[in-house]
Amino acid sequence: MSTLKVDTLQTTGGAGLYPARAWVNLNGTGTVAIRADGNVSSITDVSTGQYDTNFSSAMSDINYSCAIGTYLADVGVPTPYQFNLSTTSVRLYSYREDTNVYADTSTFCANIIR
Amino acid sequence: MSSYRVIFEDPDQPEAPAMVLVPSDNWLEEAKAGLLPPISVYWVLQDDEQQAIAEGRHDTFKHDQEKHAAQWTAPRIGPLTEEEAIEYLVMKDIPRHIWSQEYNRPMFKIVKTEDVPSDRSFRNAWRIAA
Repeated sequence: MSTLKVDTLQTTGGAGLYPARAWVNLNGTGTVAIRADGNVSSITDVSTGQYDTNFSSAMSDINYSCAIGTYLADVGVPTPYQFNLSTTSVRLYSYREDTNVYADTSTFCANIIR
Repeated sequence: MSSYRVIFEDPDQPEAPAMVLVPSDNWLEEAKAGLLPPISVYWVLQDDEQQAIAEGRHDTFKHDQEKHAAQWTAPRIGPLTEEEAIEYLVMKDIPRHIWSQEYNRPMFKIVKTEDVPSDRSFRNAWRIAA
């Protein structure tokens, strides 16, 4: 296996490329589990509909972008939101607007870009 | 999939339910392959960030470049067993005040994955017994 180490990525035309620094696809129902991830050392099942994603390697600051999405079978799409807790983790929330409660979600995906 | 989970409580939030730490399989493979830096690399970063939070400058905080790069440049600690890796993970991903201080009852426990109840309401009622 070889590793590519560069400071910046660009297209041949010179446009910048910004790959994800971390990503996770987790199942928040039942016994919470990680389906797949990159640069994630663990997740923490904090409470109903609340999950911390802990990064293997810390971000340089907290001004990273976190793109998120959720899905819960039978209900549809609970509103996902996130809070950039620190350079080492981000907290993900899944909230049902129809019942005004946090809800566990069968699929929660997050992509962190910096 | 890892055989272990870590149940922990935060003494600063006595009403909150017990939390469950779930290790990443990818990270565990790295730990077993000996690709992790010394845990002190992460503690230095955590300390610097906590200081920034205490001083009210978290929004503009940026890690020192050399300390940040140590995550990749520091000498690797060598292969860990799964049990050693979980202990490393406790010290990396669980807030330090939970595992480094003594309380009148345990605040965290490493348990077998199958011992974690899948029912949320049951899990939320959990407290770690002595």
